[in-house]
Amino acid sequence: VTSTAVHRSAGPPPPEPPRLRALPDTAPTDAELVARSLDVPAEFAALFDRHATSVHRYLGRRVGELADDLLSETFLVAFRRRASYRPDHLEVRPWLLGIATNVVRGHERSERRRYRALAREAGRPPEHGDDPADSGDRLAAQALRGPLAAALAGLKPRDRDALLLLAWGQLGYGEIATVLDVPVGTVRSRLNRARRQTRAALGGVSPFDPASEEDDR
Amino acid sequence: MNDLSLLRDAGPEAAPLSAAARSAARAALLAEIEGASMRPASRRAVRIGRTAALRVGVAAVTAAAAWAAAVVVTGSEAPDGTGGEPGGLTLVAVDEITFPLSLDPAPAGMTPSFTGSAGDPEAVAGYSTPDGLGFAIYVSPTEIPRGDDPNLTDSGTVAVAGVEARYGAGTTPEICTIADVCFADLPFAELVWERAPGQWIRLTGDGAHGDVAALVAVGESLVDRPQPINLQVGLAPAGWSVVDWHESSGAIGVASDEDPSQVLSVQCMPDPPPGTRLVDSSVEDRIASVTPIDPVVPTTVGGQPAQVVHASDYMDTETRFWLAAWELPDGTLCTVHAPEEFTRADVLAIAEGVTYSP
Repeated sequence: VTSTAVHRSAGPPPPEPPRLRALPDTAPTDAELVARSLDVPAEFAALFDRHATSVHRYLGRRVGELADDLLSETFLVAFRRRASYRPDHLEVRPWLLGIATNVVRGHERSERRRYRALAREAGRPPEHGDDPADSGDRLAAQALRGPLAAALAGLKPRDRDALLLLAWGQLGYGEIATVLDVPVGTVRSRLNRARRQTRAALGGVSPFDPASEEDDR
Repeated sequence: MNDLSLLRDAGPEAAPLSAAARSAARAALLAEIEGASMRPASRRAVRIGRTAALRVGVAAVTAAAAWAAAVVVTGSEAPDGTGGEPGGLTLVAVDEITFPLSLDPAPAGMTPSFTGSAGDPEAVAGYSTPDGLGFAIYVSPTEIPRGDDPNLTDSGTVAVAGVEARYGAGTTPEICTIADVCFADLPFAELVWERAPGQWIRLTGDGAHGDVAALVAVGESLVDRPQPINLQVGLAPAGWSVVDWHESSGAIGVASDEDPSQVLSVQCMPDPPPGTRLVDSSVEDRIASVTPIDPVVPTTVGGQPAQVVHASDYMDTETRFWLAAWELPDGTLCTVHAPEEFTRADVLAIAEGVTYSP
């Protein structure tokens, strides 16, 4: 079963993304760079320049300092597998984040250990007194860092992948389905489970506004 | 605020991508690109699917490591006088980068690999077989939590050289190594114990080393004998420090203490696992991957044919640098990538100081 087949089986096809073609003398699009790199591999380096910071930030939020090495691995895998990239199904950035997610999966133990360490650290009293200038939202967010990290540690890895691709990668449901190679319905169920568990783990301390949930897609 | 906003605002943050890490990752990619540059990629579709959970094998140790407090550029001026070149930098000796422990006997048929960064309290070494399996050793001055893998099926305590260690073991349903070899139902195991006061060890292994008894044997072969990492930078400018080393990428980053964005990268890429690179790269390929500002200069490094060029990035002509490339006798391609402010003699002197002994 190819990722394409799975995606199609999940329901009506998503709207066709706009297919942009670079005008003469303008920078090539990401998709064009991937295509060119099949014949001129050096073209691929520009994708690193464009996306390294974004991919590293996603990796860093998940695995901390491991991100430095996993950034390298992500782009090596992407380069080796560039022939499989399908521009009509996915933009390059989500494709790279999907590869990064797969790379992180091999370090699931480290990722969970990091979340647990952050949860413990957040439980300690702050080194400095409260700054009156801190906003209420900021203080509330600060108070939630520990429980939030603990909640992430408690999620099933595949649920966490879907949740963090949505929250940190800012991918849509269809993009998540494509990069994880699962039907969109599976993405929905994973996200529902992950978000329900996260809210439950945060208990009464979370300033949630459930009405905004549907806007996140 | 909903849970997604909360994750974005209050979730774990990422450290910014450092110039050294960016440089190392880019250099690794460029090395891979060089290898493919002589032949177009296969257009055969390769599915990225559920089984493509590519894992960096234990050889490509990825947790930051450092026994690096001593890895600073503090030595005397280069004995060959290169530091005295008019307009050049003062080059000084770089302390050897080491991992604090060795294995005695050394595991047969396994390749060690070390990764670390200055200032990090952990040191990590990985030993792997060609398929990417093996074991990793984490050393830390503080207790290292044992992993909580959901596939864990067994845990308890066991003695390692007479010291109680906590162990865990299980089976990973599907996994692929850095060598791009995939396995199903692969056993894994880990041990955590305080080997000496203030020296905690965490051992993790997969495959043949995904067994508690096998890891105990590894643990009992650890000896207090620092071992140099494979790649070493012998010379660097005064006032610069080694900031990190990533032997999975074959790279060491050296940065200016005053301006850490000024980075000198040294890289020696070992032979890749079979099938992961399309063709071998060469000195000529590497030099041809950049845009020369001045003519390429043929020279020698360590008695081997080499080339050095003052060049710019092919995508960003404002980024100018020196690039020296040469091959070691075993065919390993090494490069020195240095800021434009260096002289050609500086770059070649630094290249002469590079050693690689996998």
